[in-house]
Amino acid sequence: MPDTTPTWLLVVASLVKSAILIVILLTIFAYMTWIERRVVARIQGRLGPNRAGPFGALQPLADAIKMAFKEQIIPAQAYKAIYLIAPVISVVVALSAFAVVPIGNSWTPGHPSVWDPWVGDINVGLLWILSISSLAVYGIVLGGWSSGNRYSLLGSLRSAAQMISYETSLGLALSGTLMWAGTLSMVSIVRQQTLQGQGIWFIVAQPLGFLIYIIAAVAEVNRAPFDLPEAEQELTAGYLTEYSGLRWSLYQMAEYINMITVSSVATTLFFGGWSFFGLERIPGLSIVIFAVKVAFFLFLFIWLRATLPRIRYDRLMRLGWQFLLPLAVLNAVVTAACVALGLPWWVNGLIGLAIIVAVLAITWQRSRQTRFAISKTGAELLPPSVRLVKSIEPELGLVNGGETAVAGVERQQALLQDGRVQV
Amino acid sequence: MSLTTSTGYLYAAILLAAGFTFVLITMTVANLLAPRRRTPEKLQTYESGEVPIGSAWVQYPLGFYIFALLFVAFDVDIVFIITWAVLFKSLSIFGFFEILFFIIVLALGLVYAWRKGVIRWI
Repeated sequence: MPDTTPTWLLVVASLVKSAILIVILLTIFAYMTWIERRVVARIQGRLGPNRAGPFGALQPLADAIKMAFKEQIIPAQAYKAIYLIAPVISVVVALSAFAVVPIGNSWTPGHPSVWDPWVGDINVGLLWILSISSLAVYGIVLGGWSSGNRYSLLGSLRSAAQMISYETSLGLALSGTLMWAGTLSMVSIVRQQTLQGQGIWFIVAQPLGFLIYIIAAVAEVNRAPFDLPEAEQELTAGYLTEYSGLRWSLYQMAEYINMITVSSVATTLFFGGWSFFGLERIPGLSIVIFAVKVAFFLFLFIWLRATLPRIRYDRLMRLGWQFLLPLAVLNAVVTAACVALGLPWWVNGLIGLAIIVAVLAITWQRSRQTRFAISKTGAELLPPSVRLVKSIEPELGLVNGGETAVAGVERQQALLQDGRVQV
Repeated sequence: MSLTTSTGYLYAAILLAAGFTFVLITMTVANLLAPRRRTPEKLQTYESGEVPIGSAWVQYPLGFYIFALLFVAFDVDIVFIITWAVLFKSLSIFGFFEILFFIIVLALGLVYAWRKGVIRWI
């Protein structure tokens, strides 16, 4: 950028770009809700909202109007000030994390201008996103705590524990890409992937890192199958229970904007951002390319929600700390070794793929082991995925022969009479 | 003013302010539009139709606290690793062994917590 650019122009340009960005994000949010309902309905063999406008396309508008006209109830038990502020924290934080995401190439490559399609290219861009999105926990915890409702309190605590558990894996998974990129600026990371001759999309060097990132990202934004905070059957609506009207939709807005942000980060760090084999040099097309890539990830989020059942809470924590985190540490060490030894990118990619295949093979092998459990109705075959409650597992063990099973039944019945175990 | 670190932050701060303004406007509009008819039943805490007994700020499992502690330890480590990863190419082998030592210490912490059984829920 030329040094002569006056300050007022910078401020005006970023104000205009901020306004455009907010409008874009809100439009995507509104239409994501509609597309999600339509797609999930389609997958489940239903119709989904199809009455407002053609194909129900005006549904988001109708929802927005309804939300604005709804009464905002503040429960008598709530801690009012915090209750009112919490959703605002969530949304503002979600919006500002997007500031450093480049949604397209500079208009004239090689000549940076104030109107390039990103709000700010901070030299610690990725760190900005990570730190700002950590603040999202405050919106959820404060909202849940101040509602004065037990469902809300427990939901927000769960949500916070889940977010911080997966944030560690998320950050470590990204560190592998950063070793290859050598910069934290989002624009420079994309440029690194488009270098003539040696630029590669970092997914090919970091398949394992990408896999860990995408799993952690789904958990980070509280989406299915990790949508524990909103587990209706256990916690009503989690931290959202006492919210109504516009404040409720502010939380929804934050959730969807966070989804867009993690999709954009995945696109930027692993899939070359706005680049697509030279096509990005045509002005304007780079934004379309970026949008298509992000749309793919957003669709993936919807698809996951329609396909996978919700995971149990203890297994969620186990997956985060005992599976993803060690894998992320392993990935960081392997990548560091590859970069330090000056090995080409494909060696790192192959090692990553080998680890993925090994993990899948072990998981498949373990899922084939059948186990018996003894309940009130007698011995039964457990689905391999079921893990027994910790206290009864040693007593129960893996039962193979008939005699052991009988002994197991007696011991189990004794335990049941004790009242120590619920099956 | 040139494109320095501080101007980047200026942009981000402007987006922060713009986001805040947007939320304020929508809240004001909604406050003007939304009806306000309060009844004691409506303001009651939702507990599946029961009248709630006592305060909602109940004791919650200590496990949450331990996870928060673990998170703080690991997140600080990750900030170190990320800043190191950016400079890694210029540090080469020396940097690699430095961080290997660091990651081993980190992994030992995880193994310790694992063996202690604190990262296992329930």
